[in-house]
Amino acid sequence: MSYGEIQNTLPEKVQSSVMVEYERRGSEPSLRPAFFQKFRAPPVKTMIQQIVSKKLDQAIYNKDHAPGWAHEIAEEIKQKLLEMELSRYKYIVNVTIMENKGAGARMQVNCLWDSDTDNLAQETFKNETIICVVMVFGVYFY
Amino acid sequence: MTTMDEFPGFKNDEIKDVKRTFNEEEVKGIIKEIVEKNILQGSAYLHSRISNWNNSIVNSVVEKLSALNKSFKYIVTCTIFEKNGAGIHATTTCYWDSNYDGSTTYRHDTNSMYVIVNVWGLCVG
Repeated sequence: MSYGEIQNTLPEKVQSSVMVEYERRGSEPSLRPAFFQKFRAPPVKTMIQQIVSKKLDQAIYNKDHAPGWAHEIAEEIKQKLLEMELSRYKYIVNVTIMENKGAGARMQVNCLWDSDTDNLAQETFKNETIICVVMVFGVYFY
Repeated sequence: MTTMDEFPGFKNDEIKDVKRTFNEEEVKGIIKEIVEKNILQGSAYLHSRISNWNNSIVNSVVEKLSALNKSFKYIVTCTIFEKNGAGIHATTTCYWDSNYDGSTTYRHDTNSMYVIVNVWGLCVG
């Protein structure tokens, strides 16, 4: 059924909301993001890499500065994500800064979501004194 | 004709809201129970065994959360970190609808390691 056919059969109120959705997305109304509106890992990964290496390349671990760095990195990544202008996505940015001192660590993620629309980008940065793990989740809401 | 007003405390909105609110206390209780079952207080940090523990914690948390039968998408992360004096800092920023979505963190200490479990719940629609 094409968009024109739907428009004729729906009551007035629904019709107007369908119309608004149609104009906003520039495509047939649906519950899925359009092809170019999907959250994809590779461009987000390069963006994370740039931000983190700019911030932490010359840094030496310091317990007073680390929370500030983590906060700044997270806020900057969130800002960049919002500039990508993917509609109807919620974002979670998780930044962990660890001291590179030979301590073992393991992180594991498990998600209950729609694997078609939702995605995760994960990057690890390392220098002599710091390990920084950044995880970005993009979750679509309908 | 019966209306909803005749049944105080039983309104449509409220039923809907229970399904759409992230109950932090409840989720924290679930995590606590699972972590304490999986990680024994006296166990040493062994990197080869950590992946098993991590896996079983993360899997059973998601299983329990999905059994709550709420309209949520869940993200669960578990970090196990060896205690040898090294520092660790974690920060999260979120862009979401704070009326419905929520998150909790649970930190567990043993003699040889830290276990940090993060759960984010995102309301669907």
